[in-house]
Amino acid sequence: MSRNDRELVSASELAQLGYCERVAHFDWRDGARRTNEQVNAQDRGNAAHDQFYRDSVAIARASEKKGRCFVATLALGECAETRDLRAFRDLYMRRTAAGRWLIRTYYRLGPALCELLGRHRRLLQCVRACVRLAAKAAAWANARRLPG
Amino acid sequence: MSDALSGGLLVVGLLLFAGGYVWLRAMEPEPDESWLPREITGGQLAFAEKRFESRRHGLVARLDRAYRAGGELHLVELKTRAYFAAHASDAIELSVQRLVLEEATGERVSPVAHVAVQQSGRPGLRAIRVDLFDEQQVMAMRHRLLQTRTGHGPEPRPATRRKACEKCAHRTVCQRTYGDRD
Repeated sequence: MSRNDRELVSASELAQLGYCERVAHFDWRDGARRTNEQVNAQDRGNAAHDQFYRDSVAIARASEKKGRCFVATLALGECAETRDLRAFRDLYMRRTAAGRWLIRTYYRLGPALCELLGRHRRLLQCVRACVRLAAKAAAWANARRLPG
Repeated sequence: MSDALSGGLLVVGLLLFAGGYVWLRAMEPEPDESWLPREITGGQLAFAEKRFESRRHGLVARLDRAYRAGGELHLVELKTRAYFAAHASDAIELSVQRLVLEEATGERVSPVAHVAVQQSGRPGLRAIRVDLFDEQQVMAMRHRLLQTRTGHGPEPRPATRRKACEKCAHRTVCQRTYGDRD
């Protein structure tokens, strides 16, 4: 195995090829050089990345709560319909204080509801039909909000 | 003031403080994910700002976000730009991320990724779909980069957009060497 085969190349270094091959050559030969404009742009990028990461942490925290209980998952299993309902929650409900209160209340009551549904199969069938209808409505609403 | 009254006031104060805290937490805006593309909406955030490497490919990447949705991982890369566009360099960067993530997790990573563009002066993000390069193409590019660095192989190509040269710190030495970028 040659030295080049073992050398780790980073994604951003390789991406430079798509920008300018000569910069990749000069950076390697003379050391990386940046104009003030590029340094400022880099600083703006770093600040945006910091915020993006903070948002990621908040999203991950919210995701932890997602796993606690889900009546829809109990009724339908993991499928496109449950994804539509989650998307509706993220796109519409999480964006208002009232919606977030509803989500929290739902998660609080969820385990007891799941237990109840587990004991009554007929009730579960009714809930399944309702959840399917709700998922269809959610999919329609999501399609109006989502790009593409 | 009697002890009972001061105790009662303290309890009321504590309750008001706790109520205020809970109310403020509820009012706190949550991160906006309405810009997420259709394939990812409703999925779970699997990785954020995480470094992966593949010794087999000789590649390393730090990915901004990867979502798990529809039985596969989807990559999202944040870019701050003055305009709304994705470049070839974004596709290359995300292709490397795909290879190393697939190698590290053993999970399938979607061959389509998204660049989340934050335009200066505009609030929020907008996503652009990007088709990724396959393993063979990425490895060919890696080989090409190593050749370019050391000055071996074909002559390195200049930036496709001449405007990029205007703010390049190597502009003078580039013009002196190749004579085509004044």
